[in-house]
Amino acid sequence: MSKRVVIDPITRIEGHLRVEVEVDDNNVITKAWSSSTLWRGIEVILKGRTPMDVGLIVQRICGVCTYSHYRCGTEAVENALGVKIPLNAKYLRSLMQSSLYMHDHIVHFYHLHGLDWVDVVSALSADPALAAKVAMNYSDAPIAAGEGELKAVQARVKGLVETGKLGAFANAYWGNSTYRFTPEQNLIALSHYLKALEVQRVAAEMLAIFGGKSPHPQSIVVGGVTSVRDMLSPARLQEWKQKHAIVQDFIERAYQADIVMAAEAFGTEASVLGGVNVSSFLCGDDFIMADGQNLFKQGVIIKGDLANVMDINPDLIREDVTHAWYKADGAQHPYEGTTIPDYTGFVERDTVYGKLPTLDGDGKYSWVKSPRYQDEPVEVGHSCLLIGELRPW
Amino acid sequence: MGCKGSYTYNNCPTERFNHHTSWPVLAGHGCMGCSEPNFWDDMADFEKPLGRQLLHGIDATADTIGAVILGATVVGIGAHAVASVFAKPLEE
Repeated sequence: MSKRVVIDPITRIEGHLRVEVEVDDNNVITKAWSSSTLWRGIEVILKGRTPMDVGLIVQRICGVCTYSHYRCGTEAVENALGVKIPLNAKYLRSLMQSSLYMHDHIVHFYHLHGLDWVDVVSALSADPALAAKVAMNYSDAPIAAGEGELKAVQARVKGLVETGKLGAFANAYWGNSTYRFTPEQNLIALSHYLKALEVQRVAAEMLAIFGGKSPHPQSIVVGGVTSVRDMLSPARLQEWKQKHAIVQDFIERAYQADIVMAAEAFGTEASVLGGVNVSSFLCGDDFIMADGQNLFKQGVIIKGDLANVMDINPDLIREDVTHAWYKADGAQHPYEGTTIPDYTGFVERDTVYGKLPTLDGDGKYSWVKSPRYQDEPVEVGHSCLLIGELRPW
Repeated sequence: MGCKGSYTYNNCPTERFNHHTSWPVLAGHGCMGCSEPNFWDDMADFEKPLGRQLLHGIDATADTIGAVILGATVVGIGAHAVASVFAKPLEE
């Protein structure tokens, strides 16, 4: 007899996500549904407004990756109007994008999902001297992982625990057997979690130098950028470069080291070894290095055919709403896309928590449309950026 | 006084954002009045100079307030006059 488990909200993301799974008698997940639970209606909000304001409005969809939406919203209008922007504007937009890229990765790794694999309570029982030695296994010169610093981190978090007000560390599953780090590894990661709070602030300042502020920068417009004075100032460029060096240093001596440490501990998990469910991947090109030259190359791979990386053809992109709370006759190309809400509600079912409204998996159950490429679901995102490296040209 | 003249009241020009790094006007972009109620509707279009557009909601409100204050003054004078009319006989 299968049982249904409901998790809502999923808190390890920015946004609003509900997940329901069915498990069999051996507690193995056999089916899973994910649902975005909030109607945003950004496309509807834009109707009747000037295209010049699109970027400013659409970036409010998020509070973390704001700039990405700002830039894409603005560039969509530029594409529609056939506007070409100056090369220096491209460089500046790319500098802002890379600032956000560094910021977003650090925040996601440590502050959004870090505590799913770092046991803070276990870190309190670690031996700081031993932990300092362990840290040397993952970096030649670890940041914030010397014996003295680790002692200070332990004392700081112990003080917090003793007040009984756990703040960010409340309501967790401390001591759960799925945590795999040793107490010493937990202490290193906890120290980096705290250090990353400082470093992400510097990364946000990088974006603000050319963006005016972060989140929700306000310096790009249809046709280019407005922060020309910052771009022409050697002092401002140097300020960006110095902050970049601070963030880069943390990424190389803490973040990368922690990824290796986590991979060593969790690499044998079923979720890692089970392969990918979606084997089609897509990435765009970005981070301009010179005119017409990007750090990451665009490309698409269909059904795991790694030897055959193709150019993206935007005409093959569709948005499907079969299982999303929208009305449409089949999958639509974004150019012809509509956003007509069609909420059909939840279905009462027995769950492990008793009778509850649950997702209608056969019908509609989410506010997010499903992107398709050649009718295939495709994975996009950070690991996909490496696709371009598989290209022979 | 905020950066959009007398229509905004935030301290962005003095404090700036992100450890005093910058603020939208320093980044060369006009203020969009994002600390004010209903700014999405009252302050748009954001890329047009403020002086060349009618600030529908806000200017209309300012005019209404002016008219209401003027009206209240007239009523005040009237009420005073009426009170005087009744006050006199009481004094006598």
